[in-house]
Amino acid sequence: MPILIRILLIAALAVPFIVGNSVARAELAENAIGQIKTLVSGASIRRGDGSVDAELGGPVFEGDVLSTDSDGTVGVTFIDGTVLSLGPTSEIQIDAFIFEPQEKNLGFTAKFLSGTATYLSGRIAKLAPDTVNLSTPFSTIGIRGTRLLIKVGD
Amino acid sequence: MEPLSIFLLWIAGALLLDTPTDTVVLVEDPDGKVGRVVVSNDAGTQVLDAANTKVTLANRTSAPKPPQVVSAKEIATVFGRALDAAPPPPEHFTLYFETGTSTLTAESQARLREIVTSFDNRRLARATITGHTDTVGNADRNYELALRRADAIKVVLVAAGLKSGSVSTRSHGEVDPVVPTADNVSEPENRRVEVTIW
Repeated sequence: MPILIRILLIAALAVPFIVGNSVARAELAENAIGQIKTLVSGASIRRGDGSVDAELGGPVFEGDVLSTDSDGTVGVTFIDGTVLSLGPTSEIQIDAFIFEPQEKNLGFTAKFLSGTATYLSGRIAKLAPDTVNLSTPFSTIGIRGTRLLIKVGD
Repeated sequence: MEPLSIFLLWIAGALLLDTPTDTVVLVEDPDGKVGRVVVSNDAGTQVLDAANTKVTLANRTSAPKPPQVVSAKEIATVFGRALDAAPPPPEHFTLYFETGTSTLTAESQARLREIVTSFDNRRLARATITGHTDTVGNADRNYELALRRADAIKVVLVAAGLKSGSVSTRSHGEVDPVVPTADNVSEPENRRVEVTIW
C-alpha cells in the first residue's frame, strides 16, 4: 500500500478517538511528573497552600497530596512508568519525584497516609531501587521491582 | 485524670474499635514476575517475596508481623476499588537502528504499526520516546545522539498518527543500557529507542 494512503487510513481510524478525547487535555505541563488517568468523583489535590479538584487528564506535580472522598477513586501514571491508584477515603503524599538518569538524579518518595492504594514500580525503581522511599504511618517499605497493595488504618 | 483511668479508656477504645493496622501486600507484576519487599520500622523487619502475602503492623513501636497468605477474596474486598482505579500498566516497545545510521531496521519498521495501535487503544494516551546509545564515545555527545534518535522517531510516529502534543522525547544517553558494558564498548542492543505508551 502506498505510504500516503496508509497514513490517511491511520488518520481516518484515529478521528473518532481524537474527537472522543478532546474533552481531556492532550498536553501535559512541562514540569508535571504524572497524569491523572482514571477518576471517579471526587478526588482532590492539595498543592502548595491551596487545593484543586482532581481532573481527568490533569497533571500531578512533585509535592502534591492526592486524596479521595468516601466514594472517590483516582489513578495516576507517572512519567517514569510508575502507576499508583487510590481507593475511597484515601490519601497519599508525593514528597519527591526525580527522574534525570543522565545526571544520575533519581528518586521517588511517597507517604501512604490513609485508606487503600495500589503501586506498580516504574523506571526509577529499576534504575535505582534504593532511591524509592515508600512509607506508611507505621513502616517504611523497601522494594525490588514490584507491585504492591497498601492499606493504612481500618 | 488518673493514669489508671487513661489506661482503661485506652483498652475500651481498642476493644470497641478495630485497632488501626498498616498492611502491605505483595502481588504479581503485570508480566507475571514477583518482586521483593522489605517492610521495616524501628522495632523490626519482615521480607515479602511470594505473591499474595502480606505484612501487617499494629503501630510504630511493635515489629511488623511475619508474612501471612492473603486470599483472593480478601484482596477483592479490601482493595477492589483501588484495583479498579489502577490505570493499565505502560506498554514498552524497543526500536533498533541499522549500524551507524538513524534508519530503523526492517523488524523495527514493522513494529511502528503496533505502537500506533497501542496508543489508539488507550484512554488519555501519551507516548514517551527515550533515546539510548552504547558507551562508544563521549557521554555528552551520546546524550545528544540519543536525543536526535528519539526526535527522529517522534517525527515518524506523528506521521503515523500519534498526536504531537501527546508525545515527548527524552535522552538517557549511555547511562541506561540493556546490556551493561565497560566504557567505549560497541553494543547493538544498547543503540536503541524505547517507546513507552502510557
